Amino acid sequence: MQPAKSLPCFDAGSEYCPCILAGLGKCISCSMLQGKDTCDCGWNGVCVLAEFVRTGKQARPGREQVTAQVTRLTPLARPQADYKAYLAEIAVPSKLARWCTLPGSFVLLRPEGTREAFNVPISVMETSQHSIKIAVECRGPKTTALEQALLKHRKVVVTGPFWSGLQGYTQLASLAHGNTLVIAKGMAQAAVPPIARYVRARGGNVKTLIGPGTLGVVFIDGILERLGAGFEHMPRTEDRNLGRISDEITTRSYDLLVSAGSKLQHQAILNLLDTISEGDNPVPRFVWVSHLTMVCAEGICGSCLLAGFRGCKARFDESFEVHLLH
Amino acid sequence: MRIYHEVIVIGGGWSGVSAAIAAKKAGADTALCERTDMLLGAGLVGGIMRNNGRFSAAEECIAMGCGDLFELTDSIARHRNLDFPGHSHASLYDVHLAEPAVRALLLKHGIALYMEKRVTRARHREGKLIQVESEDGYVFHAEAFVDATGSSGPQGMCQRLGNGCAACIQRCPSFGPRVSIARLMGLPEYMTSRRQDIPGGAMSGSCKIYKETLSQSLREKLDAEGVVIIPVPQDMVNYSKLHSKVCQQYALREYAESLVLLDTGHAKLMTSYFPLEHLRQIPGLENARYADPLAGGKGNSMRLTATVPRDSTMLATGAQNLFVAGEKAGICVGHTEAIVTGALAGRNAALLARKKPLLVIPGTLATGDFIRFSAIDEAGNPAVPDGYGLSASHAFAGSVYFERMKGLGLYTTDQGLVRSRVREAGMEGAFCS
Repeated sequence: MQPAKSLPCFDAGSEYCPCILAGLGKCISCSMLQGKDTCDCGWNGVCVLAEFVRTGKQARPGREQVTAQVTRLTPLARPQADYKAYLAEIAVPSKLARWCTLPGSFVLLRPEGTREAFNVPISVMETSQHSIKIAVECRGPKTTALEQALLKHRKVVVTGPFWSGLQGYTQLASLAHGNTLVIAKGMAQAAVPPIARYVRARGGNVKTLIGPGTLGVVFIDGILERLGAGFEHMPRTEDRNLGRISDEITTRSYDLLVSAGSKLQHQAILNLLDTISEGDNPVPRFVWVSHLTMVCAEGICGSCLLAGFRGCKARFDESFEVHLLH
Repeated sequence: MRIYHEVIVIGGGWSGVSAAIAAKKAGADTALCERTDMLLGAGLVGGIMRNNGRFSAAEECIAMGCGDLFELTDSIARHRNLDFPGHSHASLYDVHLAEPAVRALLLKHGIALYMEKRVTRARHREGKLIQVESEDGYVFHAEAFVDATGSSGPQGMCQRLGNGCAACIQRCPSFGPRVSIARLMGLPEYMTSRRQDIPGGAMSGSCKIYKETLSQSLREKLDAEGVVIIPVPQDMVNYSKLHSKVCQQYALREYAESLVLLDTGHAKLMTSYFPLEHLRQIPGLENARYADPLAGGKGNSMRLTATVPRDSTMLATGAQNLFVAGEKAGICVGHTEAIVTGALAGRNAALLARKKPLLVIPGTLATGDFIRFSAIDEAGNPAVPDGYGLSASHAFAGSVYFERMKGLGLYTTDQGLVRSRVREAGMEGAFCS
């Protein structure tokens, strides 16, 4: 199959589009802005070229950065770990909070006074009118610096909102009224509550199999209970619970499968789905959490490249693209 | 080109038109800038007046001297005193006749109309709006401005919050999407927070079908009776659409389980969207075609995305001379609500321009209570302690506000009683000079 040249973009139609990539002739969606004569674009429902012309061929500014107060900080109990994790509530402008409601929403956090290289992509678990709730595991240099800022100054620099933390969003939107299975492990649990809320609001059912992963704790069960979403804990097993997941998929009928975990987990589940489909069994559509590799999240740095596309912008919604993960 | 008027209204929907008339009646030299080539905005495909509490509100306006537009829609009504699920004594104006009639009324009043003038820039200082500029380079100066730019679209919002552009009457791709004046001034703006699963917004609640495409018997019934109710086959019932509707007064189970068609010149179908293939399986609609949105089988315009905090004079919080009206002024939906808020915003813009004290409609009247009750404060919270703020749609015709109206005894269809209440409130003819 001819590789796609243009894909739909998470930011199209937002106040951040057209972005700097359009100005550089590198828009991931618009073939005309890439210098072609034809409209073989990754149609977004809005025309990026028309917007670009309307803005006077200027890119719109990127996300705002705000210095925000941490209003609540709760350490997660992790008896056997030598590094810490926290749940935090951060006071943010209401516009930012509202736009972090969608599944896959994340923000970049860094300590005040540090360079953008310290930005950490963090899923937004819950929002209220003026705040967001997040979870962070403090392990590497960036998150350790963030931990110090959280503890000492109770202030962080928040950049956002970004929406590209979940790939397969179109499938989620079209099938959310059905049955959804979420496989969540470790810190990626934090991406699950907005997905569960979205599915429940559309009258769908959602069940989450939660593994503690290396984090060692489950911290979203209370939220899921409140949302009327089913969940089950998965103790760590040698087969990484693939047997349990396989049983769940083959004995019940799921329309969607959301993998909230590492790239290794996504690959293992895709392999599992391939095996199941070989027996002519119906398999759910695959949706995956994808923000973990992001650094700038604005299409510049290339840290999230996937099949030549910037994963922080490009929406991979079709199944053939999913297999690029293999 | 530089242009000066005492009051400039930006946005020619029902609220902007009402504001312009009220400002002119208050004695101010008034102009109206409209983005497209027609007035009335969503009112071009509206039609429903005087249902439930809107009857009382319309009569209050007539008694206060700001009822010109109600008298106009009464004069072009296709049906009067109509009942349909959850609604009583509605009148339906002919959507094909309304815009030319409104345009003629504005010109008769001597209001300057600037059509296809999409305002995209504003110069302001310390909350005082000095001038606005249109995309094509016209510069408008005024003493006071009314932001009646609405809360629907732009196209990107319809994409992100709804089912994408459905080619609705707003015609954003043709004329450019609306631009909020309040936002250009850096004032806070909020979306409705009715739903917890998406950032905000709500979908317009009706689509319109060309009557010519209905079966002859269905068309004749609709012409004669004004309303036709057809049960929807069980497998096509979609309750989740009710959840997303702008107009909570029409978000009743009956509207999912039945097709409710109203005769507004078009056959107004009281649901946000309905797949064409399904629609055509229903007897009488085998050849149906959408007039608005053109892609009514797919979706509809997204609204309630740009509400501005304000006080009971309609002055935007943080602004010295910018008044807000219609959906910009609260999560208040409907023509009647737009006309009421527009009239007060327009009159107060004129009073400010003439350095006179501003008007507040007393809370003993439904219109006054509605204006106070539907406001939000600077933080986006309800401006009154018992208010619903961003979390509910406010309309005289149903949902939370109609319940409140009934509870306070403000709902009546007795025109004499309305007149005496307006007189007792000291508001008789208050908008006339």
